[in-house]
Amino acid sequence: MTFHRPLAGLVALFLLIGAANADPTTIQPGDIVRGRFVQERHLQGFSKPLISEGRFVLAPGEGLIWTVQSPFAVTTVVTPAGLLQRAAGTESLRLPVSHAPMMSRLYQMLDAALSGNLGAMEIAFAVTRDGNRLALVPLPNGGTTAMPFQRLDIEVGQFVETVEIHRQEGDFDRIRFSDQRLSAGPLEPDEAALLRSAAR
Amino acid sequence: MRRQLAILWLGVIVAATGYLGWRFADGAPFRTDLMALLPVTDHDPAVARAKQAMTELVARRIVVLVGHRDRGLARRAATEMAASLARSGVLSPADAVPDSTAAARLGAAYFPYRSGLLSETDRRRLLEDRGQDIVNRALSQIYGFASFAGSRLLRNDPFLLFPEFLKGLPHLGGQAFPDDGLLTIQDEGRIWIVVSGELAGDPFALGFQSRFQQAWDAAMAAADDPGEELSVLRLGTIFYARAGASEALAEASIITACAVVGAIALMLLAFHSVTPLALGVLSILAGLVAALSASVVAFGTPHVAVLLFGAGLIGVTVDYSVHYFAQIFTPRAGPAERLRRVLPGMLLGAGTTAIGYCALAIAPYPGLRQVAVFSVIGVTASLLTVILWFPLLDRVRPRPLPAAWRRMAALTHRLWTEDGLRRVRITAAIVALAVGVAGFSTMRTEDDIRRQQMLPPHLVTEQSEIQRLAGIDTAGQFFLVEAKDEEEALASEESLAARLAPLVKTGALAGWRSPADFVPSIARQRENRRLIEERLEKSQLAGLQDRLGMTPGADERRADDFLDLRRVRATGLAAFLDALVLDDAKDSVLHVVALQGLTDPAAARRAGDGLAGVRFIDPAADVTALLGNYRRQAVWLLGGSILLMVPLLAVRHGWRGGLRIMAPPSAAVVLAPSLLALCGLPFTFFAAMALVLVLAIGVDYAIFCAEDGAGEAATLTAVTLATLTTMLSFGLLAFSHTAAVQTFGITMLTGIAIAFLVAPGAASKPPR
Repeated sequence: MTFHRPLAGLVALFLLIGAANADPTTIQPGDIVRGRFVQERHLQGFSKPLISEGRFVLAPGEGLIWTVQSPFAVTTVVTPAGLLQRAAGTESLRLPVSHAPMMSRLYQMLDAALSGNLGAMEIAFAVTRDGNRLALVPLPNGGTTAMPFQRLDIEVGQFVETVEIHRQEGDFDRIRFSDQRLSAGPLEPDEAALLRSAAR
Repeated sequence: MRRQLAILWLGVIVAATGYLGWRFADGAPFRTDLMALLPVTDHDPAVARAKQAMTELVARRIVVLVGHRDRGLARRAATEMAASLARSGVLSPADAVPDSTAAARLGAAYFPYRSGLLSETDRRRLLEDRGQDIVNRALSQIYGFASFAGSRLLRNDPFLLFPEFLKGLPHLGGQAFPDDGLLTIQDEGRIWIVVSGELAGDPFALGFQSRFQQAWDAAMAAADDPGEELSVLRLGTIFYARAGASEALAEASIITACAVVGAIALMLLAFHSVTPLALGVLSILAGLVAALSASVVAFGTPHVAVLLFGAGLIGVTVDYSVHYFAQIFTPRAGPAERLRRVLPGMLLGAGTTAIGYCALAIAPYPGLRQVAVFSVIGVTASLLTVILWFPLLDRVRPRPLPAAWRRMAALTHRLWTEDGLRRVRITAAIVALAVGVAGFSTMRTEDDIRRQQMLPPHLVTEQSEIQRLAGIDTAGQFFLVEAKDEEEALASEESLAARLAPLVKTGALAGWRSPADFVPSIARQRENRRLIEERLEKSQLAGLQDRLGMTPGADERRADDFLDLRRVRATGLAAFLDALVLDDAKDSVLHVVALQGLTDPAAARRAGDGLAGVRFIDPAADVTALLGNYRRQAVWLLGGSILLMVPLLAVRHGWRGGLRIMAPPSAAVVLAPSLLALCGLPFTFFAAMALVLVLAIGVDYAIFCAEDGAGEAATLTAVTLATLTTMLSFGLLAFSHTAAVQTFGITMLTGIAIAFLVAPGAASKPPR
């Protein structure tokens, strides 16, 4: 029995965001996307949304570093080998990819998407486009196990500008990206070290 | 009168043949598990039941890994294989792969009781008053990347303790995790799919084995991919049992065939006539048919080892024909006269052989009892055939003994009687004494049954590969927890867990599974509630709620009562838990704590010391201890057999004669194990059992030498022939791949050879 499935689904989702983030016409192997984000979590029965902000580093093929700076410092590292979360100097979560085989398949989807094959995503999602807006709805049996969200709305500019994750019970998360820029590699040494630590 | 008895005997044999034909019509009714040969040792029914349940749990399951570089091909092959096995009816896929709703359903069963449930880590944190760590973890999961914490969960479990508890529940698949409906393992670029299930039949029943083999072959054919890159790993008792059974059956047929061909060749060579051969085969067949039908009547499904040891019976029964027909080399022309001459020796020989085999039956081994019944009936039937039929069918004229045989037969006799060889005899006696002393001083014993079964190496490799990949390695040893009610049992398991945890750190143990891992005791649930209230909610709840902007108060029911095993088992999602609960009656509860990756059984045994109702059960060690006991008993049986044989011999040969006859076989019984000890072979229970037979057969040689007295060439020839046939049949067991059988064979070979060499010493009169 595994209880990591919802988590794996969300990890996969963010990888897809990464895939959508990368404009296939401009991104080159080894390129790195850096930027900031603000996340609002709208939870039913809570008096106000939970707002957090921080920065991220996405190195296609190598992984993602997602650093929440306020109100609570927590860093999450996602690589093809698995996921690692660190907060207050201690490891609060580690999820090897072997414990969630689905993750690695969504990685493959990501790879395909990065190389311009967005059609790979259509195995798992019903994708509708409306100008610069994308809506992704998980297919009931899209070759992946149940996704922990009902709909995904993505607004794309030069990069992905906002993502809305609609879940059950009326909860939804809205993530707004800013200051995004593309640079040629390599990663900073501390970033590379973080990615390595998740692969351990 | 004699003719009527012969016809009556014919009727018996024909009836027995018909019965066998009817019983064997739908396959041979044999059992093949080695354990069936061993006695029932556990007088405590609880232990016996637990062992039985654990054996069933392990023996009836198979785990197959289907691997391929390509995920799709691996999945397709595994699915086709599983479907093929299920279709054939040999495998019921007992473990449904938990689908996406299974986790939710199990979670729903636990959720109302969440206030008493804590993961081991969280419990330790609260005991050490580190509630802040739990708050930090909750915050990092709420604010962190890919948060799974929705509003419903947060309102009812703001510290996110419940998901941690669920994560800590025993994960049944080891390293295998569900991926789109199939349990999957990823390993270095290869995808392995787990196919597992429960056998629909007894893995040790030959009939089921061959049905399974057919289904397996069909499933392999269904799964095969054209690229041949598919790997299949197997784990399951039935694969070993099947290999062992086909090995044993193949061995039994080869050994029997060789013994028969060898005996035929010897008879033809010795008698230059077809009649002795034909009648000899007749008496062997009559013996086998009678013995086999008696075994089937008495035991229903006799063990395949009976067949194997039964092959040795040919070597004994052929002796009667040999002794009878050796009389053609004497002037005695009439069948009645010939029979009269050899009958006393035969009866004495059969009597002592029966004593030897009956000694086997005293040892409380069901298998050995079967061998004893098989052999005593077989010997008696062969003897009756010789006595009742031979005089009616024997038309062979007397003829001179070929010179070569005469010389060969006289060899051992000369060794004992010629004055010129006196010095040789003394030297031999001194050497024998030295061998005896040296052998006994270097002799080591071996009772570990595991070292006496040869396991097919390819299956062992596949098993360890599966254990590495899947991380499942359930030990044969386990703890049995007996208690008056469930609460007491769960509390004992929690105490045991506290003692086992340090062993995991030292590597003596990889882990364990107990019912208490699924449901804490009520006392523990109460304590958890108190810990959560006093060390978490009191100091942290208001702050956390304020920080997150939550309205205080959970909106979903928290149960006032406590979780019990019944509720979790009712979900039908905890199959492994069901296997661990042997008994859950009102006034007596019996649980099993299974151990994983056990490397230091002694440390585990110590961990259970002093816990009321907790017992460490080590079935293999119990068998080892038992084999040791019976090895010692067998040695006493040997002494007992000698004491029982002497009075029987004394009836005809007097006390002195009886002792003289017993001396040569007794020497063989002492010298054979000494000699083997000098060669570095350990003394086992099976060697001891072989010595019982060396005594029974060896005494026959001494009896015939003593009966003859004069060293008549015909008698010596018969003894030589008898020795050769016996060595052929029992000695061939030395080539068996089962170490136990091999030991038996080598000991027989050595012992019989020595018994033959020293037998003429039993003759009382000097030669002419």
